[in-house]
This record gives sequence, C-alpha cells and structure tokens, in this order.
Amino acid sequence: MNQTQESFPALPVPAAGLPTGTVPESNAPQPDKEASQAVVPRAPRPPPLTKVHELPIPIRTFPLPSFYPSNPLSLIHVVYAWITQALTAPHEPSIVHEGIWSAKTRSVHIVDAKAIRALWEQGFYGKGHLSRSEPNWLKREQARSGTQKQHVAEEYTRQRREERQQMKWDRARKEQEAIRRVRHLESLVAPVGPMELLRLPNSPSDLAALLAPSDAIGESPEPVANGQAPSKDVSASTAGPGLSLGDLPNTIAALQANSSAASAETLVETLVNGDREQPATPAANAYPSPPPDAPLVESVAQIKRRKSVRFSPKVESTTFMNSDPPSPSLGMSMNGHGIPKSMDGILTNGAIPVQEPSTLPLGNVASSGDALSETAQKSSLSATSNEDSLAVVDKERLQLTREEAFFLTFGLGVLKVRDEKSGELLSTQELFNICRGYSYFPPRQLDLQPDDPFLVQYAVYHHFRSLGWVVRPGIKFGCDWLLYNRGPAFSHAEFAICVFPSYSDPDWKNQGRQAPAHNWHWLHSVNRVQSTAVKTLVLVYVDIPVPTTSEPDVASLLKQYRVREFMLKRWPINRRRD
Amino acid sequence: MAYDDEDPTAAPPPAIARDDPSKVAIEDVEDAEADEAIPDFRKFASSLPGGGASGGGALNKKATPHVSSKTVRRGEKDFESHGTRLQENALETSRTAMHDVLSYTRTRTPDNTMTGWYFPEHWAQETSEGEKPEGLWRRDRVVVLEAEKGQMTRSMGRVLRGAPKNVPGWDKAWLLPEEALYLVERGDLMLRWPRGPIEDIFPPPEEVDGVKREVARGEDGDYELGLPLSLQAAYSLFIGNEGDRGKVTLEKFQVYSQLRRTGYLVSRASPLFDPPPPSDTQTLWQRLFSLISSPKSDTPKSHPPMGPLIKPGLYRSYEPLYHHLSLIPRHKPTPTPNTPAPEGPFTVTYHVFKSRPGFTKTNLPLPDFRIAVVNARTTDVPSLAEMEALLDSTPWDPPNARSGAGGPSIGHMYQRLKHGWRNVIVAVNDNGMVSYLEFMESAFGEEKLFERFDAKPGAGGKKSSGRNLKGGRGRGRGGRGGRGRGK
Repeated sequence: MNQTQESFPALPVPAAGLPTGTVPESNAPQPDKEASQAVVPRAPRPPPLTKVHELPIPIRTFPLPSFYPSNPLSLIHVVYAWITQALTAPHEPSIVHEGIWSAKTRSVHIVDAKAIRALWEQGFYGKGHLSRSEPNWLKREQARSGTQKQHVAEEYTRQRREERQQMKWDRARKEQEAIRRVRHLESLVAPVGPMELLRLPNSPSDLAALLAPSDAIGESPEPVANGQAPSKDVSASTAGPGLSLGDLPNTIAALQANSSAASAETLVETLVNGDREQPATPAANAYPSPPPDAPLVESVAQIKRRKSVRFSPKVESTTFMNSDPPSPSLGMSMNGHGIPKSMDGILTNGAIPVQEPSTLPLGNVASSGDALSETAQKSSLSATSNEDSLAVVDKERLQLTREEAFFLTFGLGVLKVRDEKSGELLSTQELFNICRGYSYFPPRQLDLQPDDPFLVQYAVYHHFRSLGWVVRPGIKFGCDWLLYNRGPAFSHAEFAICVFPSYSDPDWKNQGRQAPAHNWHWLHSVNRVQSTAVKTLVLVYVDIPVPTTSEPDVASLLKQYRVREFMLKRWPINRRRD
Repeated sequence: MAYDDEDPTAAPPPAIARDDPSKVAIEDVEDAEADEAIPDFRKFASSLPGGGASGGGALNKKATPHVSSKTVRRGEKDFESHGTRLQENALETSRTAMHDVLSYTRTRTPDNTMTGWYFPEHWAQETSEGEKPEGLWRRDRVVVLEAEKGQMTRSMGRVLRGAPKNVPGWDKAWLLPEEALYLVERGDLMLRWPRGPIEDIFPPPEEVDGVKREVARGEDGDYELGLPLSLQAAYSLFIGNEGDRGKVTLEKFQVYSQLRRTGYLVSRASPLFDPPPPSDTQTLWQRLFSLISSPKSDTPKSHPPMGPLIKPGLYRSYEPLYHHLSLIPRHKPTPTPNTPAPEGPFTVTYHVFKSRPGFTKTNLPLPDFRIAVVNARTTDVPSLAEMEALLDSTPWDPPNARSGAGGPSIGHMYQRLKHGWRNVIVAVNDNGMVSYLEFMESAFGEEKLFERFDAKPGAGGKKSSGRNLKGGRGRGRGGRGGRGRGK
C-alpha cells in the first residue's frame, strides 16, 4: 500500500506534459513505423490479384466475342476471332511443366522459376519450400536487403502482427492505468477494513523502514549512486500487486548491469552530478524498469517487448518476439551508437547514455531502439549490399504433394514428372504406383490396395478440384484439406475437410475390414478448432471399392470411389429456442 | 451449466465487414461465446423481487411463485486479482448474490401437485399393435395421472383413445417414464406405489352408480391405496437399459430433461409425425427437359484410361473442361432414398419443438429439430452407413432455391451448402455433459463452383466476397485479438 502510494503520484505527469522531454505516449510507437517506412520505400502498386490469378487452372480458354444482333459489326469481330483462332490453332495446355519426383521428401519438386509461378498463380498448387505457402523467398530476400522494392505477403503479416501487438499493449496499459487510478483513489480513503488495518505499520521502526527508501528516491539521487538502494527500491515497487512481473530484471544482462552499477558507482555519480537538471536521471541505474518517479509511459514503453503472460478474456497470448534483443535499450546501446567514448565502461554494462538526452529523448530510447538498430544495420549493409544482391540466387523450389502432382499429370496434363535418380520421364501409371506406394511407410512396391491412403485422399482431392474449388492441405488447421473459393489470395478457406475411409461393401465386411474409429472427443476438438478459425467442418466419407483380381486402369478405378459430404455444426441449445 | 463448455479462446467477435449471407458464421461465433459465458448471479439476484444485493433474508421472506421462470444471465469474467477494493467488493457482492439465489426457498402449492400411480404392467399385455406409433408407445406408459393440472401437462401424457372402455384408467392420461421422472424431479408429481390392482383406484364406471369414489377417498385413503415414492425410488424404477419396456436410459433422460429445462417441448420421435416425402411431381416439360440435360450433367461416358482427362485442344470456356475432369461420382440427394431404417444408437429419439402458443400434444406440429441421443463413451463417430441411415430417416429439407439466373453470390452458395438437404442433431452425452452436434447432408456436387469461372471478367471479380474482400491478406483485422486465422 505504502509503496504504491509513493510511486503513484507520478502517474498524472504524462497527462500534464512532460518536462523531461519524453515523447507523449501516443507518439511512442510512431518512430518505429516512420523509420521502417523510411527504410523500405513503398513498392510500386502490384498488378491486381484478379489479373495475376486470372486462370483457375493452368489452361487458357478462348471465348468467342459475343455477338450483338443490334450491332452487325460485332459479327465481323466474332468471325475475325474465329478465323485467327482457327489459323493459329491454340493448343491447350500449351505448356507442359516438368517436375522431379523426390523420394526423400515424398513429393514432386518444380525447379523452373516460370513453372513455379505458373503453377502457383493458376490454381494455387504446391508450396515454396522456403516459404509459408506462396513461393516468394527471392522476393522476400530482395525486400529484406532493400535492393528490390517489392511487397511481400509475409511482410504484411509481420506488420499486422506488430500493429496488433501494439494495440494489445495499449489496451493492457489502459487497463493497468485504470487499476492504478482506482488504487490511488482507494488509498486516499482512510483504511477502515480489517485487512487494511492489519497492513498498517505497527511500530515506529516499521514505519521508518517503509519510508526510508522511498524518501531517498523522492528527494535526492545519492541512493542511486551507491548502487544498493536502487535495487531495493525497485524490488519494493515491483512488489506492489499492480506492477507486472515484467519489471523485474529477467535477463542476465539486466542482472549484470544491476550488480555492476555498484562497481561503476563513481562513474554513475559523476553522471548524476553532471546532469542535475534532469530529474529522470535514476535511469542510470541500468534497469529497463522505470524509476518510481518516472512517468508510467516510459515504463510501459520500456517493458514493451518483455514476455508477459496475462490472464484476461481479451488478451490471451504471450507477446514477445524471439528476434528482439532482451531489452531494446540494451540492444541499442550495445551497438555503440552515438556514445561518447568516455562512457564505455558503463555502456558495455548496458546503461543508457544519459548525456544524450538532447538527441535522444528518454521516451524515445526504448521505442526507437529497433529503428535505430535497423538503420545501423542498414548503413552497415549498404556498403556491401550491392555485391550481396548479385549473389542472391533463387534457391526456392515448389513442392507439390503427391495428390497435387498426380492431379496435374493425370487430370489436367500440364505436368510431366521425371525420376530423380534415373532422370527419365515417368508415365502416368508409374507415377500412380509411386504415389500409392509412398503413401505407406516404408514405401511399398507391391501389394497396393484400393484403400491406399493416397487413393482415398486423391479421390477427395479430385472430387473437389473437379468442382472448381481450390484445395490445399489443411494440416495447419487439424484437418485433411481446406477448400478455398478462387484461392487463398482472395479469401479465407470456408470449409475444412476431414476424410474418413469407409468399407461399406459386403465383401469388405466379410474380410473383417473396418475403418479406424474416431471417438467423439476427437471430433469435438477438431470442430472446436475449425469454429475458432471461422471455418465449417465437413466430414467426407470415401466409400472404397473392393479389390479385384485384374487391376483396372486409373480412370475406371477412380470411378468406383464414392464420396459423401456431411457438414457438422455445433447446436447451441440456448440459442435455437426462439 | 455454462461451465461445461468454457471456451479456452473466448475472444471478441471478429470485427470484419462481411456480406449478408456470411453473417451466419459470425452469429455462430457469437453464439458460441454467449453460450459459454459465466452466469452472473448479481444480475439474477437483482431480477428477483426484493433485490438480491440487500441480503440473504430478503428473498426468503418474500417468496414469489415466479422465480423459477427467471433465467440466470451472463456476466464478464475477471481473471486476476489486482488488489483493489473495488474488485474485492464486486466479488463479495457476487458471492452474496449467488448465496441468496441458492438459498432461495422454493415452494409448491398443493393444488399444482399431481398424483400419479405406478402401474408398470398395465399395458404390458398390449399386442404389437400398441407398439406402433399409433399406439403412442402404450406399452411404455407406466404412470397414470389422477388429474391433469398445470402447464406441464400441456405437452406430457396422453389419454389413450384407442383403448377399450372396459379397461380401468382408459380415460386417464398416461405418462412415459421420462415424463414421470421429470415431473417428480420438478416436484410437480407425487408418485405412488399402489397396494392393490388399478380397479381400487379407478373403479370401472358401472360399479360407482353415479357416486364418485375419489370423493369418498380422504387423506388417509391415499395411504390405504398406496405409498408415496421418493425421487430415488422414481429413478430406480424408470431408469433402465436400452430396450427395457417402461424404462428410459439415463442418457436419454438427461437429454430430455435438459431440453425441457431449457424451454423446448419434447416428444418421443415417431415416423407418424413426419411429413410424407414429396412426390416427384414433374411437369411434362420438366421431364422432357431432364431427358435432354441429364446426360450432360452426368460424368462423361468414356475417360482416357491413363489421362490426361483434358485432351489437348482449343476450349472456348471452362465448363467443358470441368466436364471432362468430372470422374468421381457425385452425390445427388433425393427426396426418396431407399436406405434401410437406422438401427442401433444412431436413431432419432426425440422430436423437439420450440415453445409456441397453441401447442397441443394431441395435434403435434412438425418438429423443429430431431435429436438422436448417443453415449459419448460407448459410441464412436458414426460410420457412413450409420450416418446415411440416420439422415435418410429425417424428412427432406432442401435449401432455398437458387436466387437469380446470373449465378448466385458466393455467400449465397455457402449458405446453400451449409443448409444441406437433410439435418439431424446428435446429442452426445458424456455422463451428463451433453454436447449437441448438428449434421447436415451436404452435396457439393449440386453447387458447381466452376460455373462461375465463365462469367464476364470484371463482374466475377467483384462478386467474390468470401470474407475480407479488400487485399485478401486479412489486413485491418486489428480488433480480433490474438487469434490469427492463418491463411
């Protein structure tokens, strides 16, 4: 109670205006953004997505221009188009891409950059093996090194995540501020409850012990310099229930800085003495955590990147980034950016250069740390970037799952697959057998059954592809496939598909073959995941034909599979009554 | 009860601008959240007459008969203690309110309490005709009511009209075991175990000679005729295994009573109440048209055995391309399937009606929902055969007809797909915790997405709504908390 009382009155400071030159809270995140905008200039507007992904499959159609009876000239247009098409005779599919069957990864690789783009843009097949899905590793590399001004989806995702994180921090800070305000108001009221009375100091020595450190902080900077008092003070202030644990030194660097504050006390003392006009000098105690009389804004800005687990219905994730330095301010000063040489002793310990406030206002230090390090990195890179950009070679390949590769070969005929070892082209039947065999582990050469995992999945894949859906693997959502209208670049997947093999033929029953059973708990967990991702779960049953003595050809084998879809939805009992 | 299914990732509803049809999904998310919030006893207590916050005594003194009609509303969760007095006070108020609510004295007036007699063997000798739906499960009706009183009998118990008049109790309402048990549990029914045969209680009319014997029976007379049964006794009498005559399984009773408590009206399912399947009334023109068009919509007769299914050549539009790709037979829902009737646990058990004025148990309307009850521990996710049989036993319920000739919007197509052609609800009961899942018979083959590809360029680009049209990368979803939707 006492500590919070002592430390609280600093709160109204940001509202009243900041004498120490710190930036107001709302501006705190902005230097970051501005810096990133300055570093990566806006890319030229990319072609619209509808143009890039114009073709739903890698086959072009040649519709005749429409004939308007009211406009006789349009007939000429139609005839002209018909004649040119008849003469040039476009033969679709005009390009047959080439892939390599890679037994190690059990997938088909596309190496040619043009084929990669074509297969991705015309139907969203495969995934870049260095990317999340779209094969844009080269673009990302170029954007990262700054040589090419491109827009990359991953970059948008990162920015969006940062914005969201910032928004969450702002919200969390507002909640904390509200709580502190309430606590302050409550502390102004005389203690009346039994718990409050018990918490009061009950001897003069208690009172003295409670008041001593906080008095010292409030009035003179000496305890800061002796190296012991600050740590006590900070731990005391963090012991207050409202402050987050993030204020505690949770990196080795911070701890070292703390202990070395004592060893470097003379330096600190000179620092402090040299900067009397700056009441915020306790920052020299090398904690990222705020001194109790610093504005709250600063503390929030400084603990911004710390790991902090919150239990609240609204903020439910741990927010920190692995790539961040343990503390932005530490990382910044480690770079030795804009630091007088005489300060080296402190700086290696991670102290904030206090003599720089004119160029680096304190509030800026934490938030602009990233930007600064980025510019530093950039400047160091700029010397070498020219050579680097020449060295960046597109190493990315497109990985097609077996289902995708087989559909492109067997269904559309726009892909030919070579064997990795022999380098020879595989026939459709050979590819079919390889795909089936490699759906087992270890891969089988013989004893292929009609219920091969590949065949069951392929039946579903082909079924939905032949209806015009863009089908993508759904492992990230805990299902087998995801169904997109037009593709992931346009909209989110609407349906998530779980495939169930089914052996309803009496011959299967005689053999005692049964589909693996799934319990209700499994189904509920899958459905729960889909409903949080705003997708609808579809249970797809594939009825498997019985094996025959003579192996039928691919098309007639696939014709025997029966695919049934069932939607699943939770039925909230309270909500369907009215 | 809301604690059963707390959402670990309860988050604010996504603030996405969407088209009309896709609002359904948002509602679902909101449903899920509202469904799973914590009951706020403070609001409940303050809704009671006398006000809950004033202290425990207030409620007990002012007993009102309408408390049972109030429902507990939901409040907000608070997760960590911040050591403020404000929070402590709120917690204390809430606790007191809950205590007040729970310690509320519930009273029943005697004139609302019915008396029922347990005669398990009375209809046991009925022939299999009584087993038919027309017999209204006569063999299972084991409790006879002396008189029907109160709101509850609006949907419970049946007078068995077809019964011969010389059977005693023919003009009385007879209850199914789950109905009787639910009434006993509510305190509406005083169940009694008769000492003698049914003639002692309901004497045949010719013996009475105009004088009603019930009137002659006093307070002691009831005890002479039979003993009152406790709730435990009722449970042991009415709960049994699947297939026991005159009993109900515990899972089914739990689902029944939860549905009743939530405010639905429930009756045992019977195919009698299902509408007849719509006959294939096609006009001559339609039939002629289908003759022409049906071969086209089917899969092509011959496929190149080794692919590629699309022969190289010149194509004017995408429709023939996809026509060639069509290889795996697509499901076509029909109003008159010829699947065998469902067996085993995946059978529609209850018909559920929304509460509505003018509901009479003798003239049941079409049920709003059909519910099959299964045990979560002894059954698995249904197999294809079970699913087909279960869904085909429900009536034909096709989605709305397609709107517009120029191709429906994608949102409309999603809606049609999600509506399905038949639907059924499976109540998965895990030892009293019931999860309701709605299964829909879906037919993606009926909604051909590729038909939209040949639309005029430009028009097609704008219509595709999905979610989050602009950019498609999900920007501007900052308000969604931390739950990225991924791709």
